[in-house]
Amino acid sequence: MANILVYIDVQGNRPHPRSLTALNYGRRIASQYGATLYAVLPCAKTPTYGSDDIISVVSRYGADKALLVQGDHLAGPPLACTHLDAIVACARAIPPGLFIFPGTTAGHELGPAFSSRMGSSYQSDVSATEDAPLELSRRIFQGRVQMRQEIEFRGRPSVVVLSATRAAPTIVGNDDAEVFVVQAPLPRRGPKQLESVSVSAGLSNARVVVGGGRGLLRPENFTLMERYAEALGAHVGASRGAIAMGLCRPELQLGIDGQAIDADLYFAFGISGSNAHLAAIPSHTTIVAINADKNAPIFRMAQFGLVADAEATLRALLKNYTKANGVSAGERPNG
Amino acid sequence: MVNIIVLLRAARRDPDSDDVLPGLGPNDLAALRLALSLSTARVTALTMGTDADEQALHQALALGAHKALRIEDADEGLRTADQIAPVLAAVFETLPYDLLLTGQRSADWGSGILGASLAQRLDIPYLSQVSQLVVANGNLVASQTHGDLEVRVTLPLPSLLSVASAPPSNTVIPSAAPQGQHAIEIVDTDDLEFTDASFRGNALPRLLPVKEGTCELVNTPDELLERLRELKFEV
Repeated sequence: MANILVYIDVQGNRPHPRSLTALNYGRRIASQYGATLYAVLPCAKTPTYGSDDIISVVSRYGADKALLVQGDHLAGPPLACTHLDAIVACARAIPPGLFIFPGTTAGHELGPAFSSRMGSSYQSDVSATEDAPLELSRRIFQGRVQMRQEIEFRGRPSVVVLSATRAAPTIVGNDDAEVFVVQAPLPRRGPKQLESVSVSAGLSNARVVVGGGRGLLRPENFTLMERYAEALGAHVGASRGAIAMGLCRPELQLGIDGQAIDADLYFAFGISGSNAHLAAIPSHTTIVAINADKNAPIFRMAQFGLVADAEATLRALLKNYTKANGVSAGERPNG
Repeated sequence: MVNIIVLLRAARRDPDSDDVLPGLGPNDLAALRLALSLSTARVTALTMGTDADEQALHQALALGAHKALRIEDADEGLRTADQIAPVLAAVFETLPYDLLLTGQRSADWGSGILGASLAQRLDIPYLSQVSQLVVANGNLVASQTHGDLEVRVTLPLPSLLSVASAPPSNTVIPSAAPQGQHAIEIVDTDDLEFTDASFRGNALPRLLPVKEGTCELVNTPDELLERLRELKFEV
């Protein structure tokens, strides 16, 4: 395995933090196995140089070399129909033993498409163990089963898309990455039209979601929960049971007959955790269950659990927020 | 009339955990909802499996799908995308379609590669993580969200979209269509021409024991916040 390539998801001229985490991960493997680590940077024009330019940044986070893939059509968002041929051109120029994609929208768009084009082995939403970076784990069956796989190198490149980790990337190198340039071919079949519009984050793409169920008992407690969600900058969801009790609006329903979420963190207040509800929670989400019933099924799926009354817990959390931020929940610290 | 085929994953009994998942996974349901939200669409629900895997198709019919197809698969074991994609590609050589939809992730393996793999085999445009869809004048406009940006992509038909979510709906899913209202058509793989796929990955997955019992119980709200802050959550 001579080369490891890491796709850098560039947003607003800056690498997405998960791209830098992916570089950190690639650095660990490269150092252990004597490989060269390339940061693959799609760009419409040559990046400007300066003390904090993007090449310096990827270098500091572990890249030995920066592989600039240039083409006017790469100015837009990274989609398979615009960027895939460019990434394939990179892989032809620098054949990888391993191609790492970050756990971002771009990673989940391009990783499977690249793997399918190259006929590579593919693993998604994986986390590496601390001691053995080639040993990957991921949760399947909606988080019910932990699966472990090992990256092996038998001719064809391996492609992995990392899980949406919250681990902060760390600086591990200098500013001296060598730069290579690859001209991106025009896409074989580009989109007819591409338009980007700003949107406010909805429930389906919220990073933190606070959900309430029957255990909240009263609409006032649901309002209490909404105050806590607002304090966290989180979105609010609900179980079918909460809606059936009239605690909240039906459009907040999470589950197989409601909305699905893609959050990093999900608080479940007074939610028992039916299969239909948990189907809306992806396996990478950290579930925090607060329920007075210690036998509630949600505790089998949660990473953290507190066997307690939901209302009392919410009041304690709001009190903690006020103490930590010097303002009541509902008043954001920055106004 | 736009001919849409929605590929539904028949969730199966996991051999190690003995756990059974609901017939329709959340992303498959979103794909179905997007298809059914188009007034000009004729929607076919399709799955691959044994007759025990028809629950998802019954639910699709109950939600309003016009037709349901099951590709007969005598093997009751777990199929990966690598094994399914060539079979589906062979099916779509004989089945007319304008647009193919899959759920972004299945409810079992959830690797999210089936759509990309199938689009590659069919040589049609592909877009993942779709949340909205409009079809008009021989094109589709699909939306994908990147943080606080919604990207609207216009693609020609036919294309393949993997759907992550759909606009909220208050529809309650019936467990099945009324009896006798619709029949599920069977596609026999013996009639298809495709080469058997083998596992492409270098390492065969090894299922470990069910994750049950791994919940870390804390005693107080403050302790809970402390643990979450250790994991860098801003709470």
